[in-house]
Amino acid sequence: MQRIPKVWVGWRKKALSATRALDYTSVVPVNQTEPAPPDDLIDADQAVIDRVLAGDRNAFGILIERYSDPLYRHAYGMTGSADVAEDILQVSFIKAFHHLGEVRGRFDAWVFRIVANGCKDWLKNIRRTHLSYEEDDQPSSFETPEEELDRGEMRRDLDTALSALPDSLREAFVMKHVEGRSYEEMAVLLDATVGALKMRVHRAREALQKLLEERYS
Amino acid sequence: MMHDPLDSRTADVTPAAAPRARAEAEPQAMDREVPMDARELPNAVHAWLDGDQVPSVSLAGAEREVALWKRIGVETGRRSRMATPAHVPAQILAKLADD
Repeated sequence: MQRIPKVWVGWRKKALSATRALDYTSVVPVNQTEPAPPDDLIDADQAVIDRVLAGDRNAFGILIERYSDPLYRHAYGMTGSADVAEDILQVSFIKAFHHLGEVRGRFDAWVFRIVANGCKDWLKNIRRTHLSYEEDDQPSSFETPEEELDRGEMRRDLDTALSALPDSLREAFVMKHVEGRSYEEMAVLLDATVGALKMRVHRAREALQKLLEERYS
Repeated sequence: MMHDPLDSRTADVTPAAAPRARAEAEPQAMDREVPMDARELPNAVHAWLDGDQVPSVSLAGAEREVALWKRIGVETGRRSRMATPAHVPAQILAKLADD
């Protein structure tokens, strides 16, 4: 049976301001690829890990500084909550610190998996306990109240739509469109094929299109 | 309910553990459903969203989809510029020092 999530029931129609003229030559950069770390950065990570393991705890701050932003964006994209993203980041880096001697290969891929699993665990727990999680504590960066209202609604609507997706589709969409990773980079981090990840992103887009088009078209 | 067959963590459920896992998953059903009749996006739109060079003519007829994804792109673009709150690294290091 096909049912629409209850969170979508009751959405009011909103008359949108004039439809923006399409300009195919200056599209919004939905995809900005974040390059994989070069070999020398991977070596540099290992050098920092060696320092930490030798007793220089403060050196761990270098790794936090280097990788916290993309990991924070991943956690925010997966949970839709700045507070939860902060918590997951903290717990993940502390766990990484205590297991640093187990790193084999790329540190960034290893710590990404810790954060990604933390996000999935949080999602599993919050669904099990039926908690409704909403927050609106992001600083405003809009120029006018009308623009803030319009984009604020898109922010909430996108969060709601993402929350209706299976974890693997949401994860792929966030990595592609929020973190700006290439399919090749995603394949390394998720241990999946490029073809499988393209399929996940395509399915996520089509589901989001379906969920959002009635409201925004 | 839309099953998530791609999540390796759920795919690893053994046959013996599966009924329990299913029972635990039951309560989340309402919030996890997405319509299954999602209309396919034209390949040109997917290519455009993947960052490929797409001639304008290939997107003709998909104006609504392009307009929607431009709006979504504004929001995902905002998220892609988010940075870790400044106090978080210091908090992590402070907690490590307490260990």
